[in-house]
Amino acid sequence: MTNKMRKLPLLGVALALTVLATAAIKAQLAPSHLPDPLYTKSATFEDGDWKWADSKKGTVKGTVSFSTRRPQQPIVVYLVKLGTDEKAGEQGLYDVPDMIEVSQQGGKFEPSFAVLVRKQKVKFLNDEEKEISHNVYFLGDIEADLGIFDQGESREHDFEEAGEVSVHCSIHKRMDAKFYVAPNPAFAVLEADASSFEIKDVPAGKYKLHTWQKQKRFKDFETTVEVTDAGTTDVTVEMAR
Amino acid sequence: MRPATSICALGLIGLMLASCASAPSYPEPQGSNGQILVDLKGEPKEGVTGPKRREVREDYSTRRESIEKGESFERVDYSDLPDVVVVVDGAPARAAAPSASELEINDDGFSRGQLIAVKAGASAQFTLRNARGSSVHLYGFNAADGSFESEVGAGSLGTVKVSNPGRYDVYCDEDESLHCILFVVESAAWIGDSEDGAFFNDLPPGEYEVTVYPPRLPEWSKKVKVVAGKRTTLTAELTVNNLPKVGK
Repeated sequence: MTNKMRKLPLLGVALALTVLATAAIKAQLAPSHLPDPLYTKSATFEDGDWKWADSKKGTVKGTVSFSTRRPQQPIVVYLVKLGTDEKAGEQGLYDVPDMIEVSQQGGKFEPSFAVLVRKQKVKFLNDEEKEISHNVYFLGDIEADLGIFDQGESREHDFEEAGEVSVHCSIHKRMDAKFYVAPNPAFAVLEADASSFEIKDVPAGKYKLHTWQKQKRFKDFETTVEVTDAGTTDVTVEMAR
Repeated sequence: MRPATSICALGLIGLMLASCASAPSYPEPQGSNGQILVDLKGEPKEGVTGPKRREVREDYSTRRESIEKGESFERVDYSDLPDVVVVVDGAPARAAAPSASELEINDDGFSRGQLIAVKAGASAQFTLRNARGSSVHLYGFNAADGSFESEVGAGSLGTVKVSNPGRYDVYCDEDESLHCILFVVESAAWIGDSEDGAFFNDLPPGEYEVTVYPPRLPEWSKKVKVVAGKRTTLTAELTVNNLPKVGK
């Protein structure tokens, strides 16, 4: 055996150690909010973003129990990736649903309640049949003013932050609406007396499940759920005082 | 007396009466304590002057059937906003006027949009007059999950006790369209119509934060220094004009 041949195993060990050390350093530097385990194929991680479309996905199915009579009002169940801030833009890159239109005809917002996804656009139409001006402003987790617009005009707004938004007209005292802006597309709306829900196409990973109530009658519930590739995670949501 | 002179005299008396009615008199500050007077100035949206002629004639609908249909063009009266709550954070709590903590539920709904209950001891309380023909079940939550609920029989007067301070959204089981806001406070607080102005007397000298909560409008807040023997006057703008402008 030549000297060169004798050194080959040593070189191999050194190379393996280098690869392992590099992987360990990369793991240390990886953003903590990336899906765990990492199922994404071509996501760009430099900006801390990951793509919902590229993720392997599962489903969360749940039933909701109530300790006492519930209002016949909507409840939103939504997921936030563990370790991320639901108010901030750490929820990955997802397809934003189409813009919704809100009518103001007859001095009322229609729909008067809507659940949106962060970054979704809303178009407010002054579609009055007569010459009446309206204003739209927001209070709550988002506070802003869309100005005054006359009959036939409209205003669009992108909801960049998640949370509860009260919508009002500063001219007309009975024009009110309520929006809930979900932090990402992983949510379900339980209408009126529904007591079960299903959230499909959730990228695999660990999430915190939360509730939001249009008329708060119970303490909001939260628990941790793990979504697996092509799997269904069952959860029981307990709404209690 | 000639007719013209009589008219002038009557006009003068009318003006004097009007000025007496519109300018409430407050006691002068005395001793080592001071006062805060908060002038509540409602401001409509910039660019809105008044209903257009056609709007007044055809659409200024305040009829009950129109409201029930959701059609109402009744305007906000910025000269007299009802049920404005003013809290002086850090100032000693005193029992609010009894009317500040009264809520009635009748066939038209809640009698007011906001009310206050001052916490004295372990809890605060407000009274609920049920003018409906059947019993009602009221409940409320604040942001920190503090809650209360109470049932009051038909035609009865009930007392509702609340333990934790905070802002409560109040709802009714029997009529889910109803909503009002209860402020449970541990500081000096006032509620009233904006044209009255909020007056706080006998405050120990020091720095306080005054916060104004007008219904449906952004909160207004300012820090103020109270000096012995002086009245500090603030003007709170109740308006949407200071909100960030967005949209396209």
